[in-house]
Amino acid sequence: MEFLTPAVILVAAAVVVVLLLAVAVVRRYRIAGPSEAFIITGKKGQPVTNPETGKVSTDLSGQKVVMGGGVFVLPFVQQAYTLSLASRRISVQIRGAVSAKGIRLNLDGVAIIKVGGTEDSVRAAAQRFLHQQDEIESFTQEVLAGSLRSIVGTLTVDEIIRDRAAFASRVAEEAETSLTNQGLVLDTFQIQDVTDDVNYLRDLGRPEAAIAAQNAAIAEANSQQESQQAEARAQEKISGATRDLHLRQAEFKAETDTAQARAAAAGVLAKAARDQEVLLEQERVAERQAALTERQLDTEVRKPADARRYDAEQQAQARRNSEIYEAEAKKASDIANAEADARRVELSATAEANRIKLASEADAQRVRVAGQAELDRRTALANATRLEGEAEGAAIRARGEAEAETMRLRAEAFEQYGEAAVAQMVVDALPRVAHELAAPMSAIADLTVISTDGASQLSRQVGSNLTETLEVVKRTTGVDVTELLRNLTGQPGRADQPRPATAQQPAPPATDPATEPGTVVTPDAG
Amino acid sequence: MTVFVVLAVLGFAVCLLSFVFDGVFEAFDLDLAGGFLSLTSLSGGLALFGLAATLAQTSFGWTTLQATGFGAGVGLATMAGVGGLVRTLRREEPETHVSILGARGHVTTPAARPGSFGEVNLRLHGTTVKRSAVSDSPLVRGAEVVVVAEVSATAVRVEPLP
Repeated sequence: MEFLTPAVILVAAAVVVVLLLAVAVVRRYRIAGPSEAFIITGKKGQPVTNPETGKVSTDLSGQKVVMGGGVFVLPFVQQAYTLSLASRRISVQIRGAVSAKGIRLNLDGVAIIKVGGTEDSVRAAAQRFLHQQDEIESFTQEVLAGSLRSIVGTLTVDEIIRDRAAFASRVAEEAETSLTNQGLVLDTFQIQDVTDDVNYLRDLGRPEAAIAAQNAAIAEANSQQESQQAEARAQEKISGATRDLHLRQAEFKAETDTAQARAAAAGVLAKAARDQEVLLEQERVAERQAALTERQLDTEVRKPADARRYDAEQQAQARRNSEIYEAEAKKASDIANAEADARRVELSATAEANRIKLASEADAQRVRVAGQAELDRRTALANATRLEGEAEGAAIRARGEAEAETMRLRAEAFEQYGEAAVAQMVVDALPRVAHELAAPMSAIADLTVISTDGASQLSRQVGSNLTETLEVVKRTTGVDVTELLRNLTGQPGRADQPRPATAQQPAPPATDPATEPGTVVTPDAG
Repeated sequence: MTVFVVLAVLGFAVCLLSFVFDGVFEAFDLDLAGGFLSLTSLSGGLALFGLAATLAQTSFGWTTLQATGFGAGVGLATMAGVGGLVRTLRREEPETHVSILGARGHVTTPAARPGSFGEVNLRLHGTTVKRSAVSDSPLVRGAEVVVVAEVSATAVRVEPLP
């Protein structure tokens, strides 16, 4: 044991050293997973000489990108950073995005992005997001919302909903400009939901929905109809079968009943047949007895009765004949009596009629005579009146003719004498006018005239009245009597000519001796 | 023998320290030849040299010269092993820049109008990648295309395959 101990220790120590070395080597070897990339930095890049300027610089080969494999990383000298290549889900929601034809839409979309799987993409993404990988979503969400808004602006609602290719193409363009330079790849971008605030989308589908609802209703109604018809047919068949069954059952029962009845009646029928035969025999016996009895009746009752009836008939005939004769005799005597009565009544009636007729004729004759006498009297009266009237008429006509002749002759005379005749006629009339004017004064019973001028004032009053009357005649008829008279005399003197004529004639009736003195008229009534 | 033991202990201590405080000594920029001769590997080689020589003297009864030769061989072999391991791992680092030129694929979204972007799915090193694509000729959905130019990190120019 003592011999082995140092050797074992030494070997064990050697093994430990070998293991340490192996572990140290392996520990520096990093392996990138399938969904991550390593960016190893630290070493200088290879020198590169610019062919134009001759300047020497280092390239980026010192910064190594490793994906899906292992890499030997030197501690301290090199640093390895991990960038996840896993997909990241981003919800994009935009409100009120205006589509190509102005319809405002609300869209919910989802995008899947990741860091690109190429060295360039990893480098670009590492520069931007290495220490803020959790914020890739928020950065990108803003960008995608803007992109989606601009994409929607170039598409109509129909294209957004139905034309995936157009949408995807626009998305690819947008991604190319906005995401690729950041090292990000847009794996997919889908619209989850499209809504609007004005029911545009709902109205788009309404015609189709209405047709679908209509078709569904029709199909439902048809199927219901068919099922009910089938059910009815089935019911009908069941009923038919039931009916047939019942009919057959009834038939069988009838047959059975008939057979049973027949069986039951067989005994009774046999007995009845025998009874019938017995009855027939009894009937035959009765008939024979009846015939026998009738023959006995003939001989014993009928023939004596016939004899008695004949005897009674003969007696009755004789009786009737005697009665007929009696009645006829009585009838003849009655007729003779009645005829005598009728003749007597007829004669008395005729006599009465003749008497009445004679009396009425006498009355009529008397009335007729009285009427004739009255007529004669009236006729005579009328004749007398007519003759009287005719005589009166003749007298009037004769007087009228005489006056007419007188007027005609006067007119002729006037024509011959002209205005002299008219004046004459007027002059003849003036005394009558003056008389009429003085008539009121004639009613004055007592007149006392108190005047210095004496009673001449009164006669002057009558004269002035006449003058006024002539003036009235002139104004109303146009016949100037004064002028007429002046022309006739041919003198310019005014009232001297007619005044004597007027004064002479009305004086006697107008003037009263008692009223001669005085000019003021004072009615002395009292 | 004492010298061997001292060297072994010293080397072990340094190796342990460099392991525990990883990268401490690299701060002094002692890394030589791309990590091939790092302090860790040197201290480890020194520790193994001491251990191997001590073992040879005490257990096998070898002379000092023989033990020294044996220890040096073991130490150098250890360092060579470490260097080989490091080199191997470095070779394993993947190529990160792969050219997309010539990749083939098909159109998934035709361009809405000439000159605008459509989308293509490209087969690239066993995976399918999506790229925005422009083309001079109109492309229909599903048409086979080949990449003729890289426009940006996410966009390519394609032409239809005949």
